[in-house]
Amino acid sequence: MSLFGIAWRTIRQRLLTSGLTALSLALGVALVVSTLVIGNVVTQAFKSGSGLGYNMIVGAKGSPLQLVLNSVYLVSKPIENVSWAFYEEFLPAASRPDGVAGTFAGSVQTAVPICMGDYFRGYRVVGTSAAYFDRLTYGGGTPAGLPRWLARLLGRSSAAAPPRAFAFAAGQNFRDDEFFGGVLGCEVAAKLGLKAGDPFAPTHGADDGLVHDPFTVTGVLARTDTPVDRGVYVNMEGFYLQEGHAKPVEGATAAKPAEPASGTPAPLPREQREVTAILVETVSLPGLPAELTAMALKTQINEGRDGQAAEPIREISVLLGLFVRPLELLLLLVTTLVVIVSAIGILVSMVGSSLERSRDVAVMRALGASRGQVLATVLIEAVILALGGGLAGWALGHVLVAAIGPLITTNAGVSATLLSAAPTAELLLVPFLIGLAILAALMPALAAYRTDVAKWLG
Amino acid sequence: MPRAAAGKLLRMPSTVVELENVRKAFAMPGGETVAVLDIERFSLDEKEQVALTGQSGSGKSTLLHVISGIMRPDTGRVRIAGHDITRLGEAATDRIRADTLGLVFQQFNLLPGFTALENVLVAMSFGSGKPDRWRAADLLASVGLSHRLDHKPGELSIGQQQRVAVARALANRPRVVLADEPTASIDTAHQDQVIDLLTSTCAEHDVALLVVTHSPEVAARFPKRLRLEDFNRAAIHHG
Repeated sequence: MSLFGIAWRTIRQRLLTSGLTALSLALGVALVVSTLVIGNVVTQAFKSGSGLGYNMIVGAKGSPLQLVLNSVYLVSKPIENVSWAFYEEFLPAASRPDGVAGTFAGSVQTAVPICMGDYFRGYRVVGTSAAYFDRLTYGGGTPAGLPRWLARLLGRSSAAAPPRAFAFAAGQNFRDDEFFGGVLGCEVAAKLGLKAGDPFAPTHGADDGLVHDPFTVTGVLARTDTPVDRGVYVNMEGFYLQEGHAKPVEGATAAKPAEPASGTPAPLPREQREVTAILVETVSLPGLPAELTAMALKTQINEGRDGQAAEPIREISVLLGLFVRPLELLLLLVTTLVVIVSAIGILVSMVGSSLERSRDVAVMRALGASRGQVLATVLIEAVILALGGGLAGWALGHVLVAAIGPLITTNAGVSATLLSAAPTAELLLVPFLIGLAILAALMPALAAYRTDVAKWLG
Repeated sequence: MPRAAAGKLLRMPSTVVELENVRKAFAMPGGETVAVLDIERFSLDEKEQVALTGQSGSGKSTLLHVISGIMRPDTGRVRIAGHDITRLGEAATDRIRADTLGLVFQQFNLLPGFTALENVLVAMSFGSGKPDRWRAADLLASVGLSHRLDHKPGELSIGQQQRVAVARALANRPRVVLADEPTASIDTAHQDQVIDLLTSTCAEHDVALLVVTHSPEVAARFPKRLRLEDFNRAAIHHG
């Protein structure tokens, strides 16, 4: 019989004590794994939004962080709307009815309007133009990162990914003249079982709000691992034509879409339009880095009365610095404490059974076991408990994440599943636990090593 | 040397346990030292079966601990199958104990979490050979426990536990079995059965047997009987 076999039978012999020790260990590890995974998922989700195809968001005056959270992450409430005329200040002459370039047009390469306020079965509906998917990109760059050692520990890559154009898993982007076309993020399509060609009708203000006219899915986006996956994007021309979306203007009546038989409806008049935010990509002016152009434009906008400009990367960095990173450090601290408490649990359990163990050790020594063999047996026992409890806890942690995943999705707009992971931290956790278990078992192991055989044999 | 003389020497039984000028004393809490063993010479030949009697406190258990290497004497030599264990390190002594000696305890001292078979296998795992499941089962069968291999001590009667202890003592083909009061915890009716089991099993396996007992009835079952007080000068002084 191997020492492992002896240790295993000793554990079975003290099944209740060993089982409770392994269970407390498993619960501790489950807590650690679930917090690490959720922390990782949330942070990754925030970081994923940093790889944007735009470097500025313009919206109504208010909290810049709220503007970013709402526009990029599709969480929080919109601040207010800005006027269509203000949006047109970002457009070149060719795109404006008066043929004159807007005030800010010189600094702008792309300006994409977004309108928010509608929902479709729990997901945010964003009214926008085809340019959102034709001209913007995703996945390029990360904000100021975590310390390298922490990033490595938490399984994050500090390397910036190259920006990528949006791709469609099915169908295609809607055309600007396709007023009732819409594009679904991959998660929305998967969760709701929708595919290209399917109709869907957003609701106004909330899930139980007024049901709008149906749109048709023209395409389903390929996975981006960004908040875009959780968005429902509709042609803003169709969006504007829905009840309650036209800005009340004295003497004007909201246009209604014509019946399908009568062709494309008339668009909403400019003066009745508003946008929630404008996603802006600034130009690189000759001799000036893009950052300086953005800074100048931001100052210019913020000095005006019409709206505010926020730099999403900066806001995300502030968010990470103020909230996410301290949270991660707190999680790391909790993790360490839980693991140490678990190790102490092993120590208490093994010390508690040392009286019983002493007699068995004395018998084994009388049968010819060396001190080294009894010491190894106790340590192996601790490793088995740590490994068993650790792996069970690891699995339980992932089950916990899967169980509370929908809650996280609802409250944080982040998708957490059974397979969500914090790979490096998880890989390190069990070996770390085994190391701690060995440390904790050293005291009872040394006691076994020093057992007075003659005394215990009587 | 003439061949006939050499042949006679070869046929002479070899000594498996030999003590020379062994002294062992214990320090008392008050600082006083009390001698427990003071033996000029003691030996046990191979296949020999001896009953060692002595009054309570005469040093019987201490003698067994010294012979088995669990306790080191203060002075003197202890040879087990030719190895002077007083000159060996602890690990080597452990190995000799595992390979050469089989121990049967008063309280049996079976490992409670292990089955009968596993109790024998555990003893094998500390010896030089590999644990042999078939031989362990054979040993248990030879003491009449072939139907109790997978039972834990708690599921066995006192007599059956004693049988497991005997089988375990023989696990590593020892040269000597040392039994410390093997009948002390069983009723008189079963004492004979236990002694029969020990003597017959040891004889069957060509193993010497030293049984320490305080019972004159048990000692009477052995062809050779020794009183510790007769050769332990420390016991004489105390008595």
